[in-house]
Amino acid sequence: MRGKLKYALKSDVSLLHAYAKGELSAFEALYCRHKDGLYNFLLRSLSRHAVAEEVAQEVWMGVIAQAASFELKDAAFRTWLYRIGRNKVVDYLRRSANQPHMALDTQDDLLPANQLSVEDNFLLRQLMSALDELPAEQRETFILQQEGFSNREISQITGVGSETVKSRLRYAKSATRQRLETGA
Amino acid sequence: MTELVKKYRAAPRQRSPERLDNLILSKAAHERPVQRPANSLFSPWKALAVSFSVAGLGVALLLRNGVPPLNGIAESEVADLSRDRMVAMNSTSDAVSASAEESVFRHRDDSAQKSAGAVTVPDAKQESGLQMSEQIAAPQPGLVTLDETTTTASDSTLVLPAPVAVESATVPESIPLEETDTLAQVTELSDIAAMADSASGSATAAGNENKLADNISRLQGSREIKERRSGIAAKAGTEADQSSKAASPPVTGLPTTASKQLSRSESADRFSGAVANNWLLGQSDNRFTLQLATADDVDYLIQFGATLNMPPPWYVVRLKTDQSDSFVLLSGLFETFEAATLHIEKLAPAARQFKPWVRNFGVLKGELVTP
Repeated sequence: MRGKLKYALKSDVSLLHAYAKGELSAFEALYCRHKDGLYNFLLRSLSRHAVAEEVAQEVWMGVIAQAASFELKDAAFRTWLYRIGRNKVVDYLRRSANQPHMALDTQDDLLPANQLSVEDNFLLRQLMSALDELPAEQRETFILQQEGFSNREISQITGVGSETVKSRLRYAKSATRQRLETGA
Repeated sequence: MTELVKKYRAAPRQRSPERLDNLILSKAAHERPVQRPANSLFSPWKALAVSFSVAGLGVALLLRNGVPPLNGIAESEVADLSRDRMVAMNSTSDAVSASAEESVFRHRDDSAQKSAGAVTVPDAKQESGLQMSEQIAAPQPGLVTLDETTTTASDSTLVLPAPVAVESATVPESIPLEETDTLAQVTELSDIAAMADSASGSATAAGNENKLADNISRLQGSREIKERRSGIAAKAGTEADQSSKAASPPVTGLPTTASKQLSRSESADRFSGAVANNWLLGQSDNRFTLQLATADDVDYLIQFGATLNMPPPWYVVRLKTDQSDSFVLLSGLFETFEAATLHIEKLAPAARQFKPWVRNFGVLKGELVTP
């Protein structure tokens, strides 16, 4: 309990530096802090549990490999973590573009079971279906905004300007609204 | 749309699979980075800091325990240093005696206070040790030490059962003893045997002869005593014929009732004057002795020597110093300086209270005041 409280009060960078000095508990605390958010981002970007797990594994292995050399510059650890995840997603989508089409998981598989009302579950499945129809850059921009990132942070993660982020968000919401209104 | 986005954001998230968590954490433990290298700013100063720390600890230990003894110095060098120190201290003994004169009077008994002499100590720091009258060990009348030739640290002492009652009426007064030579040996029981042999024909000494014979018979087991007795007995026999003086009671180096009752002039004659001078001049220049005390009053010095629990020979001689002459109490014969030094530790506390000096007979002969 005391150890958990000790790590809970530390920043992400402190935990990563502690892990770089050999404290495995620091990495565990850091992983527990960001594992679900990153996995959701990857799952909603890739729409497949198996692929999301594989990409998440690659992301965290990258974090482990770069822990000793990580230096805080202009981005926080969370932004750096999601940038790695986003790059892995792009790489996977590029590799899978030349492969035969793989069936995506249903929307029911992407939402936690038995935790939503029937009405909310129906609406969210419609929203996620509309998001799947969006271009990848608009979808990822929308998902990152829902994860709590600001436009500036999204621009750092995706490597585009803030105005581009704003326009992507605007196009993504407009297209999603049209799809929901039409009931497609 | 806004409501839908809020529901989307508030919707419970899909939890990371447990198998993924275990896999990543196991890989994190396996790929755990090693300890980071030391701070590069501290590395260049690390050796210097360690050196200063070790040096500081060494200085602290020296300050706490003091400078270690000089074990590496050869014994000969130590002996030379001690001799130099002894000579230097002896040259300044007169100056010290003047300052110590007042303290001497405080520690003398009433009879000694009447005399004009003053006891000097080898070291001015030892003035407090002049309280010898309070610290002198109690006399042991039954102890007599046999050895006159060479006393070393391992000299053996023989305890005789009963001292000769020198004050008794049976003292062989007819035993002639020459003051000059005989007194040098009269302090030993072997001399008593010689006196008994030489006085065997004297009718007046018949009573005491039996006692002496008893004492001698108890010493038959000692080969050294036998040899000594045979040598001195012949000498004493001739002296007995030549001497016309009345036989003086045998005086041992230890105080007895008889020796205490001797007059001051008699005791002074036995342990000082020509007797002591002859004894000193007869020793080899390479031998050593111990100078136990110094005083201007020979009587006091002799009484002081009689109260000490030390084996003979011990004598009082007069030595010449820069300012004035002084009487010194000498005790023991040693072949080497080291043996004399070791013997100091075996002396009685009363004899060591004035910090005895190791004196060389060659040096003493040069300082001896002859009449």
